[in-house]
Amino acid sequence: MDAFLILLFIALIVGAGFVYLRGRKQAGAGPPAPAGLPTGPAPEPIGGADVRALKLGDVVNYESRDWIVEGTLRFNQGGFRWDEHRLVDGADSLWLSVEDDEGLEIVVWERLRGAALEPGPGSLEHVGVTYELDERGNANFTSEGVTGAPGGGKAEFADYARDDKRLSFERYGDDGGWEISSGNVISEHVLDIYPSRGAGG
Amino acid sequence: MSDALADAEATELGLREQLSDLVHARARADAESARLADRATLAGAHAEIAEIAGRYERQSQTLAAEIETLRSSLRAAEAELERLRAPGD
Repeated sequence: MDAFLILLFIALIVGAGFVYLRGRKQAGAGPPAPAGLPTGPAPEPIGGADVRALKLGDVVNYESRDWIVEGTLRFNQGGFRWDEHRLVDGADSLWLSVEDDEGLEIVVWERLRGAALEPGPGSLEHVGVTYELDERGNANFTSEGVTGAPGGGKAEFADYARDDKRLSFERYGDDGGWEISSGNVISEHVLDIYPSRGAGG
Repeated sequence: MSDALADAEATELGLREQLSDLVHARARADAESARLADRATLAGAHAEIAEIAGRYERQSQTLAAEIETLRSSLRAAEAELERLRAPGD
C-alpha cells in the first residue's frame, strides 16, 4: 500500500511538471496567426526609398520624368500631419501630397490658375466632375525651400473628392487668396525616389 | 540580415544617390544652357556666349545618357535585391 501511494505521488508530480512545461511553451509561442494572413516581416518598400521620408533635394521619377523636390510644406492639424512637396523639372512643376492616415494616400496635384471656384458648398463641379466636400479646417504649417508660401503660420483648407480625383483649396494667412489645385490619387509604386545625400534621407 | 542582402541594399542606395547627383547636375546644365542661350540673343552679345551655351547643352546630353545607363544598373540591382529578399523554394 505504501509503495502504491509513493508511486501515485511520483506520478502526480511528473504529470504536474509536464502540464506546467507545456503551458509555458504555448505561452511563449503567442497566439496563433489568423488563417490566410502572412506571418513574416512586412515587405520592404519597392522603389528603394520611403515616400513618407521625402525631403528637399530628393529626385522623384514619375511618368518617365525626373522631378527635383524644391519645396516642402509640412502641415500639422492637432497632431495629424501631412506633407506637400513641390516638384520641379525645368520650367514645369507639380505638387505631391503624402498623407498617412488609415493608409497611405499620395496625390499628384496641378495648380489651377484663374479657376472661378470658391469653397463652401457641399458639392462643386469642375471640368465635368462633381466633387463632394470631404473636409474643411485649419492647420499649422511650415515651409521649406521654394513653395510660394510664407515660412510658416496658419493655413485654411477645404478638400473635395470624387473617387480618385481631388479638388483642393488652400489659403495661407488671413489675407491670402485661395490656391486651387486638382489632383489624382496615385500608387506609391509608380514613384521611384532617388534620395539626395543630405541628412534625413 | 545576411551580408549579401546588406551589400545589395547598399549598392541599390548608392545607385539611387548617384542618380540624384546626376539629375541635379543635368538640371544645372540645362538651366545654364538656357540662361546663356538667352544672353546670346541680346544686342552686342559676345559670340562666345552662344558657344558656351552649346557646351552646357552637350554636357546635359551626356549626363542624360549617363542617367539612363545608371537607371539600367539600378533595375539590375533592384532585381538582385528582390531575389535575395524573396523566400527560398
